[in-house]
Amino acid sequence: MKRIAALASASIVAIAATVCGSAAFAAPLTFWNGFTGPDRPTIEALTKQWSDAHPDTPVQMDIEPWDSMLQKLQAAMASGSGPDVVAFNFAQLPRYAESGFIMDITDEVKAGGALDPSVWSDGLKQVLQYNGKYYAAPLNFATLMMYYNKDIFAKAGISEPPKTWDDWVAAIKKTTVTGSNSQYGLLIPDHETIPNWPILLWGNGGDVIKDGKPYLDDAKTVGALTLWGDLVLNDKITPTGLSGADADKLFQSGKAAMEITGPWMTNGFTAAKLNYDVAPIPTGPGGPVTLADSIVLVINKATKDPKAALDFVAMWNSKAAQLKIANDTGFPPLRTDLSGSPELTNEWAAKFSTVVPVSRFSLPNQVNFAQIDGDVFTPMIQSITFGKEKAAEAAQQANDQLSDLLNP
Amino acid sequence: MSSRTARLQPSRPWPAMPNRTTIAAWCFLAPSLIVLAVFVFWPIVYSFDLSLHKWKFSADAQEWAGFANYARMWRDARFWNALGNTVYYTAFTVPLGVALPLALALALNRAIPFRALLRSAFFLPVIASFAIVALAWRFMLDPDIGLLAYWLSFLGMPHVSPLRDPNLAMPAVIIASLWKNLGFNMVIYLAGLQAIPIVLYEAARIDGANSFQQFWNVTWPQLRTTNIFVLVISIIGAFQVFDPAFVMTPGGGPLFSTETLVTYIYRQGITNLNLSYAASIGIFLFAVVFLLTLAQLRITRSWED
Repeated sequence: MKRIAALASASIVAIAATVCGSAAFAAPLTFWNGFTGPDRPTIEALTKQWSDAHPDTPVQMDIEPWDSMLQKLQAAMASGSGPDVVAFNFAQLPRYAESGFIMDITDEVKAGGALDPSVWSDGLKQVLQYNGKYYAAPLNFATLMMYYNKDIFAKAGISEPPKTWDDWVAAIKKTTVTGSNSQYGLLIPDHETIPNWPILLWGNGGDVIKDGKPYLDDAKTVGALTLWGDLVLNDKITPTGLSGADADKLFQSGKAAMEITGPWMTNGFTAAKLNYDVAPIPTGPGGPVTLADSIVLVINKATKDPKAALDFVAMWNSKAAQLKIANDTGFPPLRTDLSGSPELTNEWAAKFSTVVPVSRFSLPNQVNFAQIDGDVFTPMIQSITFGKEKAAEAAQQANDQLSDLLNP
Repeated sequence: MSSRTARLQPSRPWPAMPNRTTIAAWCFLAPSLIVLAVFVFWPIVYSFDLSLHKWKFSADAQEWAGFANYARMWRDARFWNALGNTVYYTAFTVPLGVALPLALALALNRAIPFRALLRSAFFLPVIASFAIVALAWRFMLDPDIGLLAYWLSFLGMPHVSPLRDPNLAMPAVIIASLWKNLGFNMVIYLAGLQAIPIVLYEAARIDGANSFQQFWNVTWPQLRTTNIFVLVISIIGAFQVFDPAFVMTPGGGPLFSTETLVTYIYRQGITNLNLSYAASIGIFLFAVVFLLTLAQLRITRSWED
């Protein structure tokens, strides 16, 4: 009986020693992100790889949907806690940089080591900075292309994807069918979506904000809003009030000829056995353009191990990591020196990387990104496409609101 | 009947030991009071304080704003729109949310076949999470892959997409909410109906009352306390509507046609990080609900007298 008790107490001591020991020696690096989709295994694999190579600072990853992660993050950061490293959309960066919660990594970037800015596109460099200082390193990079349903194109007698706006509008009208068996020419989601409308404004030479000033009342912006607003309202080329997820679903069900979105949809569309391909967005009077998007990595200023955090953040920028992301998920690599590389074996990654040179970020460096997008831009688009206001009126009103937001 | 007899008994005078009983009373109240203070009263006070400042994410000391946030509400068209939508929602869900469950309870209080099954069926949505219910409705109403569109296609009717239509989005949210909450009020009414003494109906029948007269002169007056409870709870709930609008029509719905006060508070506070402005709308909502409840209690008390 005594022996059993001794054995038991010895094993308890041993377990306690192991538990305390591991806690004392390996201080984990906490990493929050929202990669709940098909790219999750890739993110997990790269994180595990880094953890295996750094047993003293293994990464403890917390993956939950972006929305809830961001809600938690605000509270955590404001109370001085929060994870060591966070991945979020570039649009979140200005707010956190302005608040002083995240680390300035300008010196590390300027040093040109693992975070060499010379391989980043100018647009990417711009959104990684706030007030001239680097606060983030990129994790991935995406461009948007025009997805088209090959069967619908063939049935409408369209032999190749349109290259100019004139051909595009003709193709959209040709593939739009109204009535009970409706089919949409081009899906243009207006809320809860990767931005579509800014691309149409840029294509005509317009913009939302230009040189820090509201640009919605510009003639070219209004021209684009009038042209596309009219196609939505009168030609019914897309359902109105469409969210991004609704648009993806519609295209996937074969009820739409074209949709503008990013490389993340290729997995789902291929799995649904849709006969589709992607092409650059047709060129408008304003020249070729598409939207760029990026998930960026930032470091909590309160981190206890800035060196390990920086090393982890830099890992994502390496050639090996970017090739794995590109080949696994179809995202174009964020490094310009990998564009056209023979190691880029994923056909989608190769296609999406062709439009990187003409890609632009929407509303870069805007602290009020959420307000501009949700309270000014989306209501303006809906007001036009639901026929509540003429494009010029809605644009003027939105321009005034925008002006208030930019100069509080 | 038991409650009536209890009330008729003379109330026993308390022994004159205020100190001990007072202490005991406080001890019994303490657990709930502490929880209420920490999770209800303090947040209300703190929100009010927040609404008087210009809260900034990282500032050490928050700038005083006085009543500027309340003045902003006055000029904010989105706020008035959200208030209007909330009133619209309340104006339909409360009367219908009282009438339909009462009708159901009356029907299911009789000896009809499958009564237990029907009662459970109507109560089932109450147990389900509103987020899931709203998603299910969203799917049903989807114009491209939804059930409604499928059924309408048999009738040769054109596609409707209620959740993308500024005029139909709110009615869709109202219908989904009614369906979800029907069972709760139904159960309350069933309990109310079963508490009505049978003898009253027997007496009414002897007097030759038909079924409508029985309802109007026996059932309805006897349900008075149930009605008060259902009404107060329904109005408070309706003014605080969030889940169905938020899940069925994310982002405020087409042209913000389903943006309610609480989804607007969420938008300002969580999305835009205007915590002070969100707090001032929250305080406004609190005041509205508080006054409505007071008024209701006042009115219903006057019924009793």
